[in-house]
Amino acid sequence: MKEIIAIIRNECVEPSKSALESIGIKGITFSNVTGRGRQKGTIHIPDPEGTLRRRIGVHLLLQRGLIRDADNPRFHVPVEKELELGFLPKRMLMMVADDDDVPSIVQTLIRVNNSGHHGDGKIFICPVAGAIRIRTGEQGNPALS
Amino acid sequence: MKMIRAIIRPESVQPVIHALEKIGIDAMTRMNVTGRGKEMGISQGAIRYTEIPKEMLMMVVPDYVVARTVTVIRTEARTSSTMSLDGGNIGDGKIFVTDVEEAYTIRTSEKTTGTERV
Repeated sequence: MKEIIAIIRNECVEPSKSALESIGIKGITFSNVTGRGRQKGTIHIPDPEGTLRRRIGVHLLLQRGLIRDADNPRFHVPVEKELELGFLPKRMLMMVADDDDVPSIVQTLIRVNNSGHHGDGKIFICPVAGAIRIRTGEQGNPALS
Repeated sequence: MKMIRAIIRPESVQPVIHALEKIGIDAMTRMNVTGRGKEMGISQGAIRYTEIPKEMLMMVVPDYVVARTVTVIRTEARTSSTMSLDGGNIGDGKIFVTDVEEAYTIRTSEKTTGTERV
């Protein structure tokens, strides 16, 4: 038994759900999280002087309606004014599945969520010692299906 | 590879993140949680709060960085105390370390196992 933790873009949740449903994975736990990767939630763009300046949390600013135009250089926030430390809203999916189902789940999640840009997310596979269905008390693999 | 989940006070999130950045850990996930420890919450006069808001930081790191990461989180998340010399108060939080067998980067379909950086 393995736990699959996937951190994905908010807009990819619905396609991921239906894709997982089509391969027979129905039980998923969702949570709203914020996160960042090695880019620290930033986008690097060249500024007029030709040096690199970091644009921080632009998605967050756009989402909150604080700015309208992401490409306007007026809104490129200097490093020292980091907004919420560059954490961007993401969705975390957690599911526990049988060992044999793990490769197909991973392939499906990668196929649906891959846009080729930074911020597509990560998938982690962790071992699980046991599972119990609270209603019936079933243990192990029968508790999953 | 290990997953480190630290449940800490919301006010110590920023110092912890800055300290982790200094040792090269930039990638992490944050979530708001509520919880209680073995003290079963806190009492304020006649009112008892059984769920206290905390912040959970989650990161996956190679095995050889685990000890250093835990030390850094501990140092930053521990609040100063008038009761003991080395500081620390009830409610400073917990750190859990669990196994991760594989990690995938969705953008590149790249698989990471063992001691590589995620």
